[in-house]
Amino acid sequence: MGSFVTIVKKEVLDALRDGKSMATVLLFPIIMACVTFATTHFLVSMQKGSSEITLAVDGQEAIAPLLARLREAGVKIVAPPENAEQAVKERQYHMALIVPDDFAEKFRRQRTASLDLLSDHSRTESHLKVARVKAIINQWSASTGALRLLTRNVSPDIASPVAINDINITSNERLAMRMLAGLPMIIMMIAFGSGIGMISEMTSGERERRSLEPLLINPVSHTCVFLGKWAATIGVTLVVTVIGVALQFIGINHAPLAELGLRLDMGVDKYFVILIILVPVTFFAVALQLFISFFARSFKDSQSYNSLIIMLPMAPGLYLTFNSGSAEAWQMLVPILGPTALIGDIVGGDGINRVYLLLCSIVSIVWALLCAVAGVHLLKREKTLFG
Amino acid sequence: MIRVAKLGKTFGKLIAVDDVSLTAERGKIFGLLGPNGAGKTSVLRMIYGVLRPTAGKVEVDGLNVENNTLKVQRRLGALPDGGSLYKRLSARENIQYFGALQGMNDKRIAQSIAQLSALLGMEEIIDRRTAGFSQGERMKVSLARALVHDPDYVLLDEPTNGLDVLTTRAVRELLLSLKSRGKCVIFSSHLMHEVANLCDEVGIIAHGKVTALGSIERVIALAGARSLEDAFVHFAYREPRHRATGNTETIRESS
Repeated sequence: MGSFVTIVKKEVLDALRDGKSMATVLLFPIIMACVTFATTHFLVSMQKGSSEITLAVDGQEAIAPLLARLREAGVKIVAPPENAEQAVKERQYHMALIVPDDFAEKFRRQRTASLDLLSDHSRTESHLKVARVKAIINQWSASTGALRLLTRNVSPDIASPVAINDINITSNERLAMRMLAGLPMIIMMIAFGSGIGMISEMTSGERERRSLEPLLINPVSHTCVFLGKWAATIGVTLVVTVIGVALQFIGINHAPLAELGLRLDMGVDKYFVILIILVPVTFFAVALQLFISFFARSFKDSQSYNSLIIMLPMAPGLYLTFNSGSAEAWQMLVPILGPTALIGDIVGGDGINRVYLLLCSIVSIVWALLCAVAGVHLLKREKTLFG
Repeated sequence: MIRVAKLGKTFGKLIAVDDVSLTAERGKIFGLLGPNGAGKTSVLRMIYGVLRPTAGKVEVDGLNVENNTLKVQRRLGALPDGGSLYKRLSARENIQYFGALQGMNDKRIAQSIAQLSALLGMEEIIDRRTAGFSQGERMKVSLARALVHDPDYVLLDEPTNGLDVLTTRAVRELLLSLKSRGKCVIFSSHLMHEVANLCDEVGIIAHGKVTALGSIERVIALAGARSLEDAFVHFAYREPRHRATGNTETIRESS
């Protein structure tokens, strides 16, 4: 126990005095907080922009009542460019409405009169605006049709045998979570990335500087050396993670989500629950990185491999981004995926399922122990010590 | 007593150490000589337990190193070839770290550091971080780190490599003081005059085998040489016929 504590104290002191590594370690969560802050601002500004719709209309005189309805709904009607299709292609307009020559005649004869709405479907930012204009036109078309039926003493209900009541059961927080779909992944990346500089330094770096051999001449078991380095890195990683997650919360709480009518309550209670989820994750992340660093042939290799390890949370993160919803039991059995899903639940306001938390913590700890056993085995190899 | 019996070590197809046997007793300084790549460092590494022998065994006070590595390491102090310090720690912190790993309490460590610091002339550098230390300063700290727990057996791999005259003299005085206190010292060196002045016994290793073993006078006589350097050249660089035949043509001093 004495040797274990001695190694932990020495490794922490050594790491704290390594200004360059510590700066890198602290810079990572700061950059991640800036990324979250900037991304939310960007998304909000994009969403806000979608409410300002400009519609170029060719043949305005034939659809005056429709244009009045569009103006009422906040759509700005402008004169068409000479070549509407080219103007949309060149992104001068999100869309253009072309009124065919026979529109007025067909409309007067109460036949279906078509309008051409030109838009570029490959432009993601146009989708919402085009959908909004289509909805207004369809609404106006339906009400005009209903009026026509009424003038013939026919109930408009005949033309609408089925009506859909679109009831949104999602909480405001879940809706807001859509804006922050990448947040659980970013939080997991902080837990995975915070100890990397320190780990490479104390493993392959120590071997490369040839200070590992003198260390192992002391009467200390390889297991104790590994555990000491593991515990020291977990300590530093947890501190950095606490700071990193706090910065994420500050960034999100300052995001202008309210401007979109969304609410995301990121309080202290959520903060602590997320930290509880991250503790076993940190055990696993550090053990995995130590194992990889002892496996690496050089300090440079160790840094390269561990840089790739930071990307590990991206796979489950992206999976959950495209398969949003509450955490499921099977996800808890997959390392990294389970904690990411649970963090998503917390941020989305669904609360925490304690059984799931226990399950995914056990899975992380089991994987951490497996990595630790493999790491001790590597440390015992003469090849690890002498290259 | 350190007893090395029929020790062998291979790295893949490379035979680094082949049937090496020797003994080193307390109160004596044993010099391990040999050209670069002869196998000296591998022998020392097997004695201090970081390499496992592929044949034979090493015993320290009757304890087999392979089965009792930690027990043996408590009795040993070793200075490995090229071993470095923690550059962000001060000289004192480096020594304290190893003292604590040897199970010493803070008071004993402080006393030991004070003694070693005076003995090796480290008073001015003891609280400086070791980054930027000269080779001599690094060697002094490494030596102090190996000796902080006052071990009974001291293994030094080329301890005077690249040292200036004053530091070399300090190391020499340190080795003699260890001998006078009944410690067993094994050290490897290329410097024949140093070995001739310090060692009670020498072992010459070439191509992984012991080619000569005994007191300095005896080794010189066996080689029919006039100096230890001539005897070294004779035993270290002669044609290794025994490797081709598998015979061990080791010359041993009859006890």
